[in-house]
Amino acid sequence: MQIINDAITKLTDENNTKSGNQDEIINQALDHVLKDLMAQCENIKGAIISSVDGISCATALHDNLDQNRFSAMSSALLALSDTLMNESHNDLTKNVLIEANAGKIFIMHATDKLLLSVFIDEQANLGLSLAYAKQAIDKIEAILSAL
Amino acid sequence: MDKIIFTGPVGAGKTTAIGSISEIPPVGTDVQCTDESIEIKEKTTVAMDYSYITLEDGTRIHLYGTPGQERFNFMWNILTTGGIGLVILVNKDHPQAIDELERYLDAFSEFIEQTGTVIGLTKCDINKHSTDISMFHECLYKRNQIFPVFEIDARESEDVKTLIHALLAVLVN
Ligand SMILES: Nc1nc2c(ncn2[C@@H]2O[C@H](COP(=O)(O)OP(=O)(O)OP(=O)(O)O)[C@@H](O)[C@H]2O)c(=O)[nH]1
Ligand SMILES: [Mg+2]
Repeated sequence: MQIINDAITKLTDENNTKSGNQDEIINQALDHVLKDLMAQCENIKGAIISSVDGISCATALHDNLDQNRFSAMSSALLALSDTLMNESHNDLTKNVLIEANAGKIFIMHATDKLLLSVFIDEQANLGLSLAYAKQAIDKIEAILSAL
Repeated sequence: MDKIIFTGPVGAGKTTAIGSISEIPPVGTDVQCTDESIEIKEKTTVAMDYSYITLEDGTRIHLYGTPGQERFNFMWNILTTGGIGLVILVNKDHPQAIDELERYLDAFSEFIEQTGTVIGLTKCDINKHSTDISMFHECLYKRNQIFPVFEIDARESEDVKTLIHALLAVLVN
């Protein structure tokens, strides 16, 4: 949390705002959020923060998975799910959960412009993983609201 | 099921075209742009557009729009599956309009071989970089892909209907 607090302090520092360092600080802080998330639970195998229109902002992925494709696919799924939820329940998506034997993926809104995708293995506890993801989202919100 | 797919680059007017002829509130998946395309417009399609129209003889035609951004190309295969025809929309006023058309002709080449295709040039009312329609004919001729080309306004339902009727006519032949 220290590093994230530091980032927030830096973001609110006028010098950085002026010198255009903001993006870099944000990206570093977002990377850290994902590292923390992965460190919390060994069954979390990967995570991506991407923009709502599918551009990857920060990733922690094992193997040689393509973060750009995954970001685009996550945003497509979440957008479709939002449309479906909106038309059926007049509400937005809390999370999209995809389950398979080999593991699960969930995708959720982080801020109005960012989303978080989390990849967990077949042994992961879903409730716990979702709770960790929620904590990560709180951190993302804190970082972005410092702007 | 008769299914037509609208494709083409960002901002060509796919979502607008489907919306303008739609009989129902179209299904859309537009979200806020965060990349350089924000200079063209505020929102972009990330999954698909969907709607349908009913022809005079009662046939229902289902309309699917693809995202225009290349990073969503995984949707292109998903959406073309089972399709009977393709509408490619290209912004005629785009500085590289011909390249843009060719990019989509290439990307959808397999689907194009199996079905019919028509081309709609949009934004003909804007004349900053406008490419003459003859250049599009020439491009298609060189590629040996002789498809009908129409100048349309994606906001005008009559224009979009013309495209669909032309496509259905191509499919009959
Ligand atoms: N002036 C003019 N504007 C047009 C014409 N056709 C479409 N537009 C406008 O161009 C824009 C097209 O936007 P969209 O329909 O979202 O484009 P799209 O092809 O769905 O784009 P992506 O989903 O991002 O790939 C809209 O603002 C339309 O109003 C035209 O013939 N003339
Ligand atoms: Mg669109």
